[in-house]
Amino acid sequence: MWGERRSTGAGRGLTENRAQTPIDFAVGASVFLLTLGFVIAFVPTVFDPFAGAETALPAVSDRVASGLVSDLLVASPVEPAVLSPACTVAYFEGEEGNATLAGMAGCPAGVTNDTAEQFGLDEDLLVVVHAMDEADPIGNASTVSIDTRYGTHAVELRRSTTDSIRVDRGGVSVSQRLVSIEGTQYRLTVWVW
Amino acid sequence: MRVFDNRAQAHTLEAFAAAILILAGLTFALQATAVTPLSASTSNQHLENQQRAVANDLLETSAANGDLQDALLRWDPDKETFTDSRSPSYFTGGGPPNSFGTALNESFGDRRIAFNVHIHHGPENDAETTLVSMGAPSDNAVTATRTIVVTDDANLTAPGYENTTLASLSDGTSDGEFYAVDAATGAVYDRLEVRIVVWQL
Repeated sequence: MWGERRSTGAGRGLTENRAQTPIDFAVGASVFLLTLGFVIAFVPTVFDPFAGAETALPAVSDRVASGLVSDLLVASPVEPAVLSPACTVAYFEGEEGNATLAGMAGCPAGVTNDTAEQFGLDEDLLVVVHAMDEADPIGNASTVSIDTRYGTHAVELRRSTTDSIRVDRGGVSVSQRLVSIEGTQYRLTVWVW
Repeated sequence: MRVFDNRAQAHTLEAFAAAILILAGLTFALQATAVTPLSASTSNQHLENQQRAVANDLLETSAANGDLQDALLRWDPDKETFTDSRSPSYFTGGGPPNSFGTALNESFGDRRIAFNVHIHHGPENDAETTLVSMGAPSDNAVTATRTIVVTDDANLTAPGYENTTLASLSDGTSDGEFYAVDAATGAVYDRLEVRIVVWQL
C-alpha cells in the first residue's frame, strides 16, 4: 500500500505523504485518555477501606467491651474476663444498676453510672451476656442466679442506655468478649448505634 | 518529505508509552499501600481484634475455673497420646472431649473459625506438644497465650489414669511418660505455655 501510494501520488503534495497522521493522532489520544480515565476511576476505590463508614467506629464498641471485662466488672485486673459476682449484679440489676451493692462490695467507681456516659459516648448502647452458642443474642440475655456475699440475686444480664432501644436500626458496631461468672462461661456482646 | 513519511504511528506509540507510565505509577502506589480492596485477605483488623480478644478471654476463663489444666492433663501415658488410642496423638476436627474443648468449639469451631492449640514446655519453653491441629494457619491468624503451672501431685484426667500423678510418672512408680519432663525439684512440675492460633476459614 505504501509503495503503491508513493508511486501514484508522487509529487501530489506534502499532506498526501504524511500517511495516516489524523488516524494516528486519534488512536493515540484515545488510548491515552482511556488509560487516564481508568486510573481516575480506580484511585478512589483504593481508599475505600480507610473511608469511615456511617456506623459508629468498631473501635468504640471494642473499647466499651474491653472496659467492662477488664476493669468495671472484674474481680481483679490480673484476671480479665473473670467477672466478680457482686459487681456483675450491681451492674446489671434493675434499670440503672444497684448502687448500694456496688458500694458495699467495693466495686470500681462508675459501675452504676450510665454506661455511655462512663465511656464518654453519645451513642445508644446495649450490653448483653448470653450463652456461648446463642444465635440471636439481642433478645435472649441469660438470666442467672448469682450468689454474692450480700445474698443471692437472680438477674437478667442485659443493660441498655435507654429503655426501649431500637435494635432494627442500621449502622451498628458489635464487639464480643468471653466472660465467666462463677466458673460458667458466657459471651458478652456490646452493640453501639 | 521523507522525514514526514517516516512518522507513521508516532502518536500511537507515544500514547502507549504514556499509558504504561501512568499504570506503572498506579501499580507502585498499590504495592506501597498495606491494605487495598485487592489485597488477598480473609479478615479485617476488627475481626482479628475480636478473635484475639475472645481467644485471650477463653484462656483466662478456662484457666480460672480449672478446665484448661484438666485439658492439659488429659494424656494417656502408656500410648503417649491425647486422643485415647486413636491416631494421630492430637485432635484434628475440634477441641478435646472436655469442658475446654466444648468452649473452644462453641467460641470458634461452630463459627467456622479454625484453631490450633500447642503446648510449650521444657526449660526454655522450647519443646512443643500439639493438642489440636486443624492445619496451617492463614496469614491473618492471631495468637493468644497463657501459662499454666502444674504441680507434682496433679492427677491425669485421661480415662483410666485418674489416680496417676505426674510425680509417679517421672520417678517411675507408674508406667508411661508425660509429654513434659519434671523441670524442678520442688513441688512445681513444669510451667506449660498454652498457645492458641486462630484464623478465619
